[in-house]
Amino acid sequence: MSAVYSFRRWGILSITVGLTFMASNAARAQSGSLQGQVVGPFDGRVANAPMRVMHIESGASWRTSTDEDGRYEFTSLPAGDIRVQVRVRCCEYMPYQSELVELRSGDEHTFDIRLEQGFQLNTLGDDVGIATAQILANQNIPDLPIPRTIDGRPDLTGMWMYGDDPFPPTPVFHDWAAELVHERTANQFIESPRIRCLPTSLPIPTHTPPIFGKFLQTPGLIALLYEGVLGYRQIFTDGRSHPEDPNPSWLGHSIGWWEDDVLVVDTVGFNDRGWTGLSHPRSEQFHVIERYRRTSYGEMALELTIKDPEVYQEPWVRQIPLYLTPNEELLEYVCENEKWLQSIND
Amino acid sequence: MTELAKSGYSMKTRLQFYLFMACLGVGIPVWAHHSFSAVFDVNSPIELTGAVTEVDWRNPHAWIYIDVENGSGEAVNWAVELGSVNGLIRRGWSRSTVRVGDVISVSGYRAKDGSTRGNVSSIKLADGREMSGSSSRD
Repeated sequence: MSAVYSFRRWGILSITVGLTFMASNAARAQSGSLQGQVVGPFDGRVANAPMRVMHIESGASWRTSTDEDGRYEFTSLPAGDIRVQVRVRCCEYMPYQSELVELRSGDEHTFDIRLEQGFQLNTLGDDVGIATAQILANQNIPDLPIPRTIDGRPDLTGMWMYGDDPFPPTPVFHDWAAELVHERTANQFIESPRIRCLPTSLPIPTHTPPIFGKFLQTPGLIALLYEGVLGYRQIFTDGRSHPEDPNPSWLGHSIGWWEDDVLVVDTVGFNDRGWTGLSHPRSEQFHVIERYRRTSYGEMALELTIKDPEVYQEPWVRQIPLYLTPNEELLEYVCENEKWLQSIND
Repeated sequence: MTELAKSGYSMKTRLQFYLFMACLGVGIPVWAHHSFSAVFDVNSPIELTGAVTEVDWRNPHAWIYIDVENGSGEAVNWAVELGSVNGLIRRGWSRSTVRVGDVISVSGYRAKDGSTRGNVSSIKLADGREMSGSSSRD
């Protein structure tokens, strides 16, 4: 027995979702399940798509990814209102979030999802998700212990790529910052410094995602070379402090130290002209704390804490995975913007 | 094309999507340079075939120029934009992947200003290779 329900369009995304509800004989069960298939705008199956189900009442959430056929399954979900989210790494598809779905004990929902095309219009060469998969598949990571420097610290030297955090915590802005994010968003980030070939802000200043950059770890200094405007960061590990009156700059002043096997990098001294990520403003109080923990030869965990008391009401913490990519090499990146500016100014 | 038109969405929807991203906290830079939908129109898909007249191999974006015959038999020069050179190299390209004189076919979306410019979502090269910026079976 089944029936098809048309869900009201969720206010954020114009996505039509077909929900098939199958009454179960196991009505006495304590939990329900959800399964289905995720497809693209033209019915192509979307493999390895990160998904999350949020249980509204308890605040609990569960994650999974679609299989090669775009299928997914959540079992043993508690009864109550739930919300389903899908977010494939930028920018092939739009992120998706369902309306509230009522899941009753014993329900076995089939919930198919169609994603809309993303805002990069699948531009070749700008396909971060595809590049990430290709680069990962092209690496030969030796089965070796974490390398260490002569002083016994983990050696982070090498080329690294960054992965995704599909469902990060929501930043809590002050009102003025929220309004500015809204305005910049409405303008499709057209005033972003990046578009004028100015530096991208910390925490990840690369212009060529998913390439993170190359660490060069020396006594007293760790350099990060990256593909982007400026192209380098210096992290002083010689015990110095920040200057008392730092020169406000695009990438700030970084000092680092070790806490056991974790490299902690503290950066202050920013100007207020950079944009964090796509749209966040920053003040000269912008403060970034990076914690790098190499978890294996081939992987590193980066915890980012972003503070700016003028912009955020509370620190914003992100978890970013990094992958060693010894078969990748740094490429020159000089940003020549006049052609693109010509295309938007005509 | 028909399917594309069906899947079109309004500017309002797009704004709502961006705000959703902001709410999610998608704050880490994920595209190289600019939002393509700020310049190109998802509701104006294009498919072009013609001979390459110029390859502009540079960051932040590579451009290819092709002469496309219009309905009157005249050649119209189109400029189509790709991602960064660095991104293309990592997709297996080099500057000589497309050469002046090659006949290629591209699919993408036309500029919002109605000019003969567009982006490249997929391409069929002179040697028959096809490459796409989409990974699914769409």
